[in-house]
Amino acid sequence: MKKIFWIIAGFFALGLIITIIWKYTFWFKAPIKVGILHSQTGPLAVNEKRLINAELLAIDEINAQGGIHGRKLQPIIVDGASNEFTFAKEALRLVTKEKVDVIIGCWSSASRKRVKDVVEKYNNLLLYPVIYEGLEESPNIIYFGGTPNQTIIPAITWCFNNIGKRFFLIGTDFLSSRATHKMLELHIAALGGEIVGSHYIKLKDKVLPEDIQNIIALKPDVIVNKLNGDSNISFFEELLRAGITSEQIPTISLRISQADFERFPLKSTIGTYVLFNYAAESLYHFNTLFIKNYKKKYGQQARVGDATQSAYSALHMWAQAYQKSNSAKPQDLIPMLKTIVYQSPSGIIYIAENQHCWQDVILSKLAYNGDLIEIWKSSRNVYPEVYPAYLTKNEWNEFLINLYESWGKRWSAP
Amino acid sequence: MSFGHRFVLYSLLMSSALLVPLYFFIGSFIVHKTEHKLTSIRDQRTQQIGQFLDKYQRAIREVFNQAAVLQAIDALVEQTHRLDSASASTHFTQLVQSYKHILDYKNCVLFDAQGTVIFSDATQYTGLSLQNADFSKTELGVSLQQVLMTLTADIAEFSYDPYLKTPALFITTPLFKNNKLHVIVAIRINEQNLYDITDNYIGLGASGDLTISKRIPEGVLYLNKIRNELLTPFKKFLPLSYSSITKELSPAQRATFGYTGSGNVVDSLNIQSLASWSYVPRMNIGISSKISLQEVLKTFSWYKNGILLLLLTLIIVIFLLLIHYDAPLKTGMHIGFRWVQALFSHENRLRTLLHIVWLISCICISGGIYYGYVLKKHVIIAKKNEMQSQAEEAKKKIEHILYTAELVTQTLSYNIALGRLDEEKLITYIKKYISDNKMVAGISVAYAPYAYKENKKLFGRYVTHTDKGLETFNLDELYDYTQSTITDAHYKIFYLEGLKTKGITWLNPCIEMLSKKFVAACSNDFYYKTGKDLIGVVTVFVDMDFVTKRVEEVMFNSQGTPFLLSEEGVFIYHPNLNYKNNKETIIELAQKTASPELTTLWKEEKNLNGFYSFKNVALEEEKNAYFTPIAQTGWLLGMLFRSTLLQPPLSVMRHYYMHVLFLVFFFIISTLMLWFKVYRFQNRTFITRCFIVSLPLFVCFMMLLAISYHYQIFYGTNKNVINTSLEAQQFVTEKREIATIIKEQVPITIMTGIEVDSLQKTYEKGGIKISGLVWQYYDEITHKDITPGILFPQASQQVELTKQYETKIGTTTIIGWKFFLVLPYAWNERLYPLDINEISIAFEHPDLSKNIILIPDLNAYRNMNPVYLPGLVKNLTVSGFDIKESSFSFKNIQPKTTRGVEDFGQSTWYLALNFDIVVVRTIMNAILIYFLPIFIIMFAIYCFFILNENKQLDSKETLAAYTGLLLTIVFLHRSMREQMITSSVMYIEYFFILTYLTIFILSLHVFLQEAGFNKKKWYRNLASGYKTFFWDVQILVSIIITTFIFY
Repeated sequence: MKKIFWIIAGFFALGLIITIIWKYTFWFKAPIKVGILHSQTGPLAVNEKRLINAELLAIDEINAQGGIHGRKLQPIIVDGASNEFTFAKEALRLVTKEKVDVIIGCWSSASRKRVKDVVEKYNNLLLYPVIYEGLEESPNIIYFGGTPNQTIIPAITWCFNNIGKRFFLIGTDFLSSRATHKMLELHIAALGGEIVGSHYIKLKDKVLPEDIQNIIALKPDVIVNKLNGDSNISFFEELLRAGITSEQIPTISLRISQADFERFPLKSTIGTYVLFNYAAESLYHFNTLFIKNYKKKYGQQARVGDATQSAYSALHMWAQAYQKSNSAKPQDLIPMLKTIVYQSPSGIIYIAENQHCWQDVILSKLAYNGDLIEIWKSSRNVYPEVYPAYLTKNEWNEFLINLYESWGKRWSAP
Repeated sequence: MSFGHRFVLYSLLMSSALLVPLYFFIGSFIVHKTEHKLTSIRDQRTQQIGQFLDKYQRAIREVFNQAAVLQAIDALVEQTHRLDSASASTHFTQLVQSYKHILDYKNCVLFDAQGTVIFSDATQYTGLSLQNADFSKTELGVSLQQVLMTLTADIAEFSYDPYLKTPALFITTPLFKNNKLHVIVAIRINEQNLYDITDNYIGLGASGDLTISKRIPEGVLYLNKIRNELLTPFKKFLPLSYSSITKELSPAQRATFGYTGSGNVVDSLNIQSLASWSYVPRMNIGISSKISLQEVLKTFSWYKNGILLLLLTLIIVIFLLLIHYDAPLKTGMHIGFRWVQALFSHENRLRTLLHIVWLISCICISGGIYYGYVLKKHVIIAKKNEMQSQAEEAKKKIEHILYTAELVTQTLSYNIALGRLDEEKLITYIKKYISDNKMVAGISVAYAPYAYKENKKLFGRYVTHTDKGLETFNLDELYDYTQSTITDAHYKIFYLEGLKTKGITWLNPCIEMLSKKFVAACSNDFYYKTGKDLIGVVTVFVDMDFVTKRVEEVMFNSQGTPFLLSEEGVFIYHPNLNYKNNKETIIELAQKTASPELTTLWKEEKNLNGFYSFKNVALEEEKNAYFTPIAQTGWLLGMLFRSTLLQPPLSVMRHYYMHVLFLVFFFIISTLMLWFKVYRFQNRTFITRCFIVSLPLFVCFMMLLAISYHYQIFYGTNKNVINTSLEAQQFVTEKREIATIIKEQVPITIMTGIEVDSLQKTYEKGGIKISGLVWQYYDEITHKDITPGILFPQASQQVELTKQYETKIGTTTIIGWKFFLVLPYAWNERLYPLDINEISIAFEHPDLSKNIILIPDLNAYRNMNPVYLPGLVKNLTVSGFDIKESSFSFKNIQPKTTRGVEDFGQSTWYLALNFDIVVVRTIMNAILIYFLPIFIIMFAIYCFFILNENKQLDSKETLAAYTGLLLTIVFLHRSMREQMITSSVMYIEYFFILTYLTIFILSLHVFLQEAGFNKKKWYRNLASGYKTFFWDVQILVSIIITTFIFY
């Protein structure tokens, strides 16, 4: 009798141990390494730090749900220092030394171009969460930011139809601004408008009073602002100093995040138009949840922007694809990623064949208190067209190569 | 206990332990397998839809890259201004049609870069352009605008096209030439190709369905045909507020809202189903596949029931063996530190175990009773939370709208204050702000005297949407807005009201006379930098349609009445538009609905916020209200609903009481076991033992019957009960809206009343004879083309309809008919004698060519509370039944044919008005006629059994007695069957079967005794056990039967 009793008790104990091991198996599994590659120093740091926050929030949420197949995500954060070559160096380290399964990061197109070479060489994957100029398709990159037809083209068309036909272009002397301006030249010409002038400044430089005077002298109807980072502060300050309000010469900004406005003098930016693929003020359930969690982690004053939510959604989508494919290899994971429909803070998004994201287009105007009022919104998600139809793919690539060569094999002006 | 005994006992224990996971595993295995199958079907169809779209987009590119086609387009573009020149159009049509083997399209439309049609093979589109406001709102127009903005191909929403008057799906593609947008081609695909994918039910069984649906502002619209409801595409619609009986979203809703998943859900017909749902990218629709759970589990239910039966048998056998094997345990316990060891020593193990089991049973029973206490509380809290979150969500949206209006007001004020604007620029700005913000109906800017120009006293401009589009009015020419003598509220709000407080002032909504819109005004006075010198007042008028749409969303399970009140208690929104139009107050509503407590609540309670209850004196019904204030304006968003909405459903309560009863049962069993093994049960007399064991079981059985009777299972149909005119109006308004959405004829209503004076069950045919009076109201204007008449569509015999009277009051004629009809009614007697039946009399209007909804004439009845039996004459009786309640309801009849009328039986077309009478079986009849004889016969059987055991009767005499009793019970059973028509086994019949079984077992026992089995020890033990536990076995079986049927 005793023996039978102990045998039964033994069976029960064994069953209990197996259950515990099965349930908490991730204790014994190696974590999945996620490389977070953004600028923590330099002029772009202010933009990119928010992306790091969003990415860490996404990692926390994924881990709280049990990780991927019981494996936790381990973030490895490195600094790109707002320099394209540092990005390349750090990407190489992440891939070869840290053996990360994925890299999420970059802000400027120059840094992305550098990281692209690394991930393609080592067959790794980059998740790029920022609105960009398009003109690129890589089997090792998933682009979550808007393409030109999801950003500048509708923005300019709206301005042309509603504000005026004379445009002035100002931007940082980057690949992104140059390519965008080229597209605008073609698009505005096709619409029957006119580019009255353009001006480029270096990333670390400020916009000067004489630059603004030159703009005023040319009497544009709209100023298209493609400035990056802190240059925007001087731009808006100088406009205000010159007595130019948005009601006199409206500005449409294509590289400013919703969260950036708090750093600018409010008076100078009232009435500015901005185009995003995300409305931070939206009452969409998944947006309010995202903002609530973001503020809970980073404080009530923390603000989110377009790229912030893209970075957050990118990691969640990648985790779902990993869960489905059970592999980090781009050739296994990307087909799965393309089948996922994700309820992101900006709405329902999904990945197109060209590895870019179908998403909404939202044009907003800055109100007197810093909030954005929605002006125009696409009626549904827009297909990401990488190469605007004005030129062929080869012609666009030729344009990029010429730019690269003219800058001494760099992706930004020396 | 010997090793053999122990081996048998532990084997049985292990087997029964294994049966438990097996029982659950079978179900979950089947469910999991089916879910997997449904998901693969869903994914396969989603993939097919993707391939179908790819194929079309490839085909469009291929066809429109052909040199010949491009040349033909050039020719068309050149002839834009000469559309009458048919040759280019004909050539283009022929050319594109020659590619039909590649591009299977229905229509082709070409637009120029400005959005004007330059070619269309559908004449309805000829001459249209984006300048046409109606066209720009169509899905093709919206898609065209998106293409023009993004220069990217677009798939328009699959929707009803108002020009083609049919559902249409367009793919819109831009074509470029010389670095310029040349034309935009819109191809209407052949939607049959899509339906070939979605209307394929292979692998979905008999009840399965595959639906595609899309989200529209009002709710969810199904795009393909609905297999089980026989609805054609674009005819099934679920309002935004819809939620099933379980408060869960239906699979179609989940899919449409962008969720992906699978599981056990309740579908839109409240049928428990297994479903799989996901979102279809690019088309922005949801896809869901489902199959009824009943169908899935049907084939395996026998296995499940078999396992359960085996498990129960094993438990009983283990219990009997335990008693049989184990000798009375030695008593006495060790003391001191060896207490625990002694407790679990070999001698005391069973004794301790029994005490532990008994303690657990005590804890369980106390826990169960406590759970019951918290259950009700929890359900109420959960329901309140759900309701609150719905209301808060709507409130947030309303506040967002108002906040945006404030932003617009302040931004505009700020900009005007910043620069002195000339008139032209000011109007341009105002127009821009109006077109940028959909919810803004109009904006006015009124300058203070001499603030605009020193030589001009007043300057005010008002821009608003009118029939002519955006129109500008010169306020200063219309009147002097600075004069307080102006009495019209509309003019006051522009200026004087705005000045009352500094900054934003909200004014109560009213009809604005120039735009004729119901608007709320947000006024802001603005000053020069010093903050002292007034410049003027900017007023933004918010279109209240945007706000009321949000209020409508607060429909708790479609059963509450949402409303919006001003600070003074005047209705800004109520589903009954009369309240809003007549500016009625909540106090007037309280008076109309005989709710004095609501009046007191409004008058005495400050800052209403949260839940409140009050009594409707007329209906003698407890009602509840929820209020939440809107921050900016002080308006109150609220909802009125019945208190029953907060109660747990009957089935939950029935299950709860049954669970408690099982705990009681567990407690009794554990007590008895303890008693048998520890406290020397054997020392008692035979009669005492029988009595002590049977009595608690009998009490349990009686309690089970009482629970089953009190919380009866009621197979009522899914219906909308109408007790108040408000509910009727709400229902009709909803149906009218749905009819507009799904493009059906807007329903016409005819008021109808009924009074039933006799109701009789017909045994010979399985039906019911009903007679009474029915009347209808016909208005000279509304019903001028309608011939008076009424149909009883279910009647099995020719309905006798005799006109009794015709009276005219004003423009309304009231016609009354006396009717007699026989309804074929399948009485649900499966639960006899604890059955409830619902008799429904359906009315229809004979004119099928019109979408007519008959609505109940509620004013004709003194009290509409169903328990007061409205619509039935006093003292109406139904033989064998008590009448429980009567009410009016609407049911969707879902006919299987269209009766020759195309739209008949679709979403709103011919919703039958029903008069429902709920009758409950008089249980005393059944007790006297059937239960009492069964009990007496069973007792007689028991007596003969005992006499035979005591050798007072020999075998022959005993068998003769059993045979006599068998004949009696057979006659009784037969006579009952003759009276009932049901084909299934009734609840009461299980007791007949139990009696048959008992007679059979006892007869077999007599036979085996004669055969000499009596000499064997095991047989003697078994017979002795059966004698002791005779009544326990009978009651236990009765408990099991009752639980199985009524759980």
